[in-house]
Amino acid sequence: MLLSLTELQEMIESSVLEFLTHEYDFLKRANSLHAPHAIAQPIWQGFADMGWLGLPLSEADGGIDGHAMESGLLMRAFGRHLVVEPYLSSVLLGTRLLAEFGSAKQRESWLPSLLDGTRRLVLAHEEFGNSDPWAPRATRAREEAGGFILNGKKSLVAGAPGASAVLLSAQLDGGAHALFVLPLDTPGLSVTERRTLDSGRAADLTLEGVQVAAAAKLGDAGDVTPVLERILAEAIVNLCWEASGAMQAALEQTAAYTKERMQFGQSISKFQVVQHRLAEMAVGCEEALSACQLAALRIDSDPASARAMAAMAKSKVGRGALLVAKEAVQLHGAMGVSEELAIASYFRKLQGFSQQFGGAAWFAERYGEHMLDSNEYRASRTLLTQKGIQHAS
Amino acid sequence: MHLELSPAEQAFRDEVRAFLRDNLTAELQRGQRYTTGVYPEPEVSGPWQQALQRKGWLVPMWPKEWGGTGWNAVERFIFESECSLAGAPLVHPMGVRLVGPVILRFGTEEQKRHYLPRILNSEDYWCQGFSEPGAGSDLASLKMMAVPDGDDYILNGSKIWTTHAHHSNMMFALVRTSTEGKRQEGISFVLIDMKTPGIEVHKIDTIGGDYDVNQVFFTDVRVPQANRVGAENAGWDCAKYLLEFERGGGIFSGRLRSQLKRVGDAIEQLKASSVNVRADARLVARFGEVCADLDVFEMLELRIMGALQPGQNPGAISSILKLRASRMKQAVAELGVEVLGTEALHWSNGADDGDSLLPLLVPDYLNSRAFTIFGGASEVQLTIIAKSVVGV
Repeated sequence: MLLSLTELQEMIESSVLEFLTHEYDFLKRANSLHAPHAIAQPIWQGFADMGWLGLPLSEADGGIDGHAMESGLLMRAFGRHLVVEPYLSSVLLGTRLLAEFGSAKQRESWLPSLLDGTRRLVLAHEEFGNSDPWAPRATRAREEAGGFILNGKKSLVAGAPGASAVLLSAQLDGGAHALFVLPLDTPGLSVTERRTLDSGRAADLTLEGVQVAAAAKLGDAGDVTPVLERILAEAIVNLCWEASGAMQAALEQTAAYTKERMQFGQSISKFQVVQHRLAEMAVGCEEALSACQLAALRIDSDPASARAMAAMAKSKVGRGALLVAKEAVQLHGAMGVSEELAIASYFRKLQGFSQQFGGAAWFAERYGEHMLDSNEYRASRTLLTQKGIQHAS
Repeated sequence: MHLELSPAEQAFRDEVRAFLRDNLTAELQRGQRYTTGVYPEPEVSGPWQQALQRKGWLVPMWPKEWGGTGWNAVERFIFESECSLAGAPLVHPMGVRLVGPVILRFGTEEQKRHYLPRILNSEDYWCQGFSEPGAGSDLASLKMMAVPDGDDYILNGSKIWTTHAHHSNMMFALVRTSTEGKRQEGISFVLIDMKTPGIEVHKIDTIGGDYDVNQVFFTDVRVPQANRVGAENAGWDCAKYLLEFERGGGIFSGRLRSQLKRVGDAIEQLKASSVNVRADARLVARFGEVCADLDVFEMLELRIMGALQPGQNPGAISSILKLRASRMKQAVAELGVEVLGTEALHWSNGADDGDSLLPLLVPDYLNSRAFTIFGGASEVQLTIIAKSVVGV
């Protein structure tokens, strides 16, 4: 058991915090908000130069072999600084899925340009009216004349504007799922840009009889569903890490504000009711961090636990994020609803997080089902013998 | 970071499991399982403490020369978790975890030589005389007087909510030895023989139907000044030191998980009588929330306790653990009642229920209301967290 960060983890955490403190304070962040597609090219290039665009890839693929803990620490720092560049959809989903499923040829033609930041690939998976991240998708792919015909709709595909291509999930005849690499200018594909609550950019996609060559299908694996599910689950845990960073920053800024804000002849941090609310926020932040650590550590030791850990983390962090976000605005008084201060942006970030991929209550039910089915609740969740094997006593 | 146990940690866990297999009798397990009060009765905890002492495992937090184990924080965590999950009786903390460390830190050589072996051998059963009518979480407002008279103090006043005073032969207490200056500066820490004339123990009936707490009256009770720990009027330092152990020095996650197992067993028992909790999506979600909360608490506790050096106690961050542990205790108990549904209306004295677990859930829930009150109410912990963790 090791309860401190490894050298690689320390290195990632300190370098990302240093980079963002220097390049991405709340004022400089406006450069990203106003950039085309909300991506400031120097920032994205900086991510590439630091090696983060290959974080989840193996060293053989030019990456830094980062697992759930490493990507989590990076995402926590991104959350602290409210990074709007679509790192999760591009790198932790797009690049990672291509590295996982791509044929030799696809990997060869895509990975170098994804890692050096000249191209971007995002996952297009979510569909309107389907908030279960693991439910089968309605988009269809019909095999025809040596290629495929695609029909369906994808909603709020994060990072799609400005991307080189999307990785589209679709159901094949017979029910299996596959991923297709689809440039945004493909005929029959219409793209409607949308803004998201956290100031990011997304797009709704409509596919009407889109014809693609067989080579557009990712790799030659059969049903991609199990691995896609696992990688989506890991992405949900990464979102929780990001939220935990935003929560911590919101707490710190709120505590500082209450010390400066005078009312009734003293700083409001002297009022017990304010102190207790700050303390509840601090407890929420500590718990959110612990939820993320537990999820990442268990996934790293047992990837098959990813879905259960995503449910655990989203249930816990989802509840804590809303508590912290609401209290942060409340304790800022009217300033909390002004865009002038960062706190309104933290609120929108955390509110967006709580909706993304499904709400906290939905995940709580999934976790309850999992625990009642597996009886895992009866054993310690931290004392792992090896590779997640537990012996219930 | 990683959670996998090293080969040495695995070997240690195997040793703990072997000890539990050989020493934890079904009778002791049953005694703990049917405990709904805060602590098991002495006839349950006593034999278990003696078994631990024979193995040299009763006081992991003490220095090795006084019987400590020399375990690091992770080993302590493993030990406590394994004991709780196996259903071992709770060690009565008053001697082992509370007054023991205070005597070790502030006591004279003579006090150490007299009292510490008696704690180890279960000769003394301690209770804590801190709260008074009118002095609960605001402990510094306590009034019970100790007036010097020759080599003794003469005590007059009353202590209340004294857990297991009716089983105890010794009490450690805070008494007022001065009314001058700051309230905290007039308090002394004394050790009292409960058989001293003038002490009366009165039972208090409480919400869950268990007999746990008492009011203790002192009328001209003579206590030798030699029984004072630390300097006169310096008892507040002893109290603060003790409270850190009381609030965060324990490892609660294993105990909470064994409570959750009891709720799980109740769900199974209800299923056998065709009440299926699984049919209620809201209850399943609530079960999932409590599981997530407990998993996270376990991780938080491991992270905080695991960072400690041997002999260190966690300081102000123990308030986060105290706050969360007591709320978790209530959340698990509430889940038990929710699972029962209308069956929770049934009130049982336990006599006619055989081995059924169901009648335990309601008293356990009722008693759990005390957890956010004793040891410093949640509001007190929040104030400490605001000051020490948030820094306002």
